[in-house]
Amino acid sequence: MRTVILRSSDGADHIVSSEAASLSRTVQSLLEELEAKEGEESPLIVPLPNVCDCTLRKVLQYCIQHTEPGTNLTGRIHVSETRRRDLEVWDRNYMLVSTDELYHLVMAAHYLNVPGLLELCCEGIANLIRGKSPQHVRQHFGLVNNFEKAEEEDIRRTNLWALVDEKELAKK
Amino acid sequence: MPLTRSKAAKVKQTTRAPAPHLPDELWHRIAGFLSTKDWVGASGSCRHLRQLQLEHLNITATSAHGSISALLWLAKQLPGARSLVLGGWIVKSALQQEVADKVRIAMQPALQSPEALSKLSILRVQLGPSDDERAKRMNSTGDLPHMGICLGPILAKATRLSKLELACVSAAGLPPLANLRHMALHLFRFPMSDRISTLLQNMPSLETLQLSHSSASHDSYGDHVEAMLVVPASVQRVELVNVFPESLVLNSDRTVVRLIGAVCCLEEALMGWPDVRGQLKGLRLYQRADEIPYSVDPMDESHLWDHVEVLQFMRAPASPVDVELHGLPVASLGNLTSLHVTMANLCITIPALPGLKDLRLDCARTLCMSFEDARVCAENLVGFEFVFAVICVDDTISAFFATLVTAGKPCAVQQDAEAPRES
Repeated sequence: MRTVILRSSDGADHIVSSEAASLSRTVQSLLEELEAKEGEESPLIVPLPNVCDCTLRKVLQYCIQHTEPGTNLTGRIHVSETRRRDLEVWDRNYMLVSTDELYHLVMAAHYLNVPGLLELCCEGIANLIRGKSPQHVRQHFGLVNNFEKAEEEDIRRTNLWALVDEKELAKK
Repeated sequence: MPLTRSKAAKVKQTTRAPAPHLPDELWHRIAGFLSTKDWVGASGSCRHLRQLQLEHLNITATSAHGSISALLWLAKQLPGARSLVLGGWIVKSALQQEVADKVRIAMQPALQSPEALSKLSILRVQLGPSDDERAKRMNSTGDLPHMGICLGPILAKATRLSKLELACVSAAGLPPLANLRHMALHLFRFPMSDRISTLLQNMPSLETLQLSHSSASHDSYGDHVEAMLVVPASVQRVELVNVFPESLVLNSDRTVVRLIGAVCCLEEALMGWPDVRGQLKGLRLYQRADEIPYSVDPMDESHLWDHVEVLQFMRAPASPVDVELHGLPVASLGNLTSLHVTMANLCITIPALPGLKDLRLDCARTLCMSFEDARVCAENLVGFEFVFAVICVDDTISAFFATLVTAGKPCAVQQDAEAPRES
């Protein structure tokens, strides 16, 4: 198994197996280009200018965990039910991160094109949003309320059905 | 992180600094994990999220006021929608005419846009109450409330629509849909066929057609009978559920027909459709409480289910009927591949048919089963399931399981723990 050096935007190098690195489709295609240029013997260094050291470390945790025996290259499980359950538990614990970390992680998963991680992050963000008020969502994701007064009035009319209990609405 | 005492300070600490917005592609993925209702809540947080066009919308509004609000929101989302599910809409009863007018006015600007519904390929709509609710209303008022919004203008705009599932009072107002490939219509009011036949002629791409009606309000065959139903040649599969046109015309000999309904109605209907028998591949029969229990008479030359591939006997709700199917081996079932029976008490002889691969018997009480030829059945069956409270065992059953074991086939027999036990 060949080792690969992934270099973060702040210059930190991470040595990983080509199998783990290839969970990222972006890295996989870069590796193919590098191999064609430099042959199979020289070390392969992949610069990743859009991912900082801290986030890359976290992404690689996922890639390594999901390339252990019992998983295939896309991170999808194809063997035992026990292994699948173990990975689900691992994924749940892995997602216990702050909103800020989650934001950087989803951006990295998107840039690096790691399908399994991207789904996991999007589901994590959806879980943070579910059942929350617009104020809460703004607060969580650093969004700015940029509506004008007329728009706010429009939102009050059109979003009413989703924000209040239908039975209460009918009583009014 | 230390907790602060004042609420203002707490908010300040947990609020993230404004960050570059996530790409739309990610917001779409995130929205895919949320119900439409949850997404609408979130979309009120900033202009960017509010303007994001969702591809898959599922809106259920249960009150008239909620419907207006939801339709106002929907109007803004129509240009981007690829699939749309609308449920629980009650907006055009006589008492709610004012509400219906408001809805029409709300939707008008959206429908006038050339982009409205240009991407829509799947539409599933239930207009009016569910079958259960409708039955309650009919019992209390004696009349069927007139419900439903005018779908015609909306569907006329959906030029790419390929799948339509519609439950409503009548099919009135459905426009020609040139690209429609799959249509399922569940209508609350009879008759439907006259209008449907005309409608179908204007759907040249239609491949599958399901027409259904709730049987709750109809007592006999006469109540179900409708005029002629003409199925265009493009249609490959037709399923009729409690729908029995006086005459059924199939314009292609490749069209496969599946029928679901009460035994008495199906028997009478099929007598009027002699040409359809060869194309009837699936039959699901249920029996009303007032009917004579099923039985297969070996002296009968023909049966309702002759030549079908899939045969199901279902137990109608509140109908604890038994079924006597020991005569099955004499019926003309040479094409049968799948046999399912769900009954309270069942007496059955499984015919020795080389094509029979799938057998499921589900008895709440007693199962009396035997095999015409245990070895043939055991060798040919690919999947089988027997559920019962009590079973009457005979020699052929022992031979069946012995053959299974010899052939190395897995077998499992389940005695239903929930069912009443009998000695």
